[in-house]
Amino acid sequence: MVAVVVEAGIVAVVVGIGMTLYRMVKGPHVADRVLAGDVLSLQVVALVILLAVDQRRAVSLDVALLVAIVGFASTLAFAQYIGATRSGPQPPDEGEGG
Amino acid sequence: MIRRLGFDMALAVLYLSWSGNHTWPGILVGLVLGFIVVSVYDLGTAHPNHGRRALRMLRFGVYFLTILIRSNLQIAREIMTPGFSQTPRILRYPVDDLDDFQTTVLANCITLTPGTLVVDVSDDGGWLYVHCMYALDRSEAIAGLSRLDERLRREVFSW
Amino acid sequence: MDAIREIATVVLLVSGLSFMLIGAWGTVRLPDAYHRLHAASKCSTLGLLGLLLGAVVHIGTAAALSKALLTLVFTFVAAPVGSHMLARSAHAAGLEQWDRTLSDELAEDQGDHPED
Repeated sequence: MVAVVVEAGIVAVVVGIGMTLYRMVKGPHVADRVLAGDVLSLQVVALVILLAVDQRRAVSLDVALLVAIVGFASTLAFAQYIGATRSGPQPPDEGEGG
Repeated sequence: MIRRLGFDMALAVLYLSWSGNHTWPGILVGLVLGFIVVSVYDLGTAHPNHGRRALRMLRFGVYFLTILIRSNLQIAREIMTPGFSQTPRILRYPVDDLDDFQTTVLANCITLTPGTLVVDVSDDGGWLYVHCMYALDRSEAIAGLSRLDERLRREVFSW
Repeated sequence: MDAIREIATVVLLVSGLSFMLIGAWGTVRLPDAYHRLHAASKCSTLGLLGLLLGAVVHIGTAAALSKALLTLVFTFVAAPVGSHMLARSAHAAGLEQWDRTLSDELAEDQGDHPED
């Protein structure tokens, strides 16, 4: 029973990863891509948890925590990047054209 | 409160690592022992009751879980039914009298409750800017936010 | 006893997986980045809660519980904070909002007091 759920779950997670990749490729704004990456990392966490359930070992849960931390850190880094490149004192538009 | 709960957990971890009793009852015994130590300490220093506050915090945890599930069902319905029925707005919500830590907790709770997402905090920390998915009536959305706020203040921040 | 445990595991895993899937679907379907952040932060959090609890029930050791709790606490703090950061910088970057958005008081306030 659990084995069937794990098999189906892998399919569901892969479908979810496909959806986030679609958003990452298509996303009209950088924020859309970064948010797709965030969801993608959480889908990978879900995959690792399924691995832990399948193996019935707690060691794999460490990997889940690590992937979650790395995903969070990269989201923060990209958010800082978006904020740093687009905000702050706006360059005068007219000055560049001349 | 958080400090005391953390103290309790730390005592439990100490108990676990020293007794080498890594089983379910072992963890429970560690937590209970830590709880007793903290309670006795509170009695000795005439702080308000540790047990009652822990209970209130637990009740808020249960309430929080129910609203988390409700918000997920709501957004799942929005995603799975065709067409959109949202009426989104970005609202400002006053949080003048909370300190930084409390504002953070409140912002996290707001993000996980139905239809709301914190977008920004003003520079002086006095306002939260909240993206509401269903805010056709502005005052109603604000009332929904302040219900959570009241509850959080009463059950978690008040010690 | 084992049957109950298996059923609990299956229920928790299936609910967690379906919320994860709905969250991913939400990032595809919803109209603008703020709505997508709603889906991303809420569904992923509850989905991971279900999955981790399912794993704990299935594995059933204290080590699994402590690791799952650590991951859960981290997720419950990190997922909203990540979406705050993203929403904030997206708004600062002038992200297009959905055309049915009624009002934007953050933009009004920033118009009143020019950003420092």
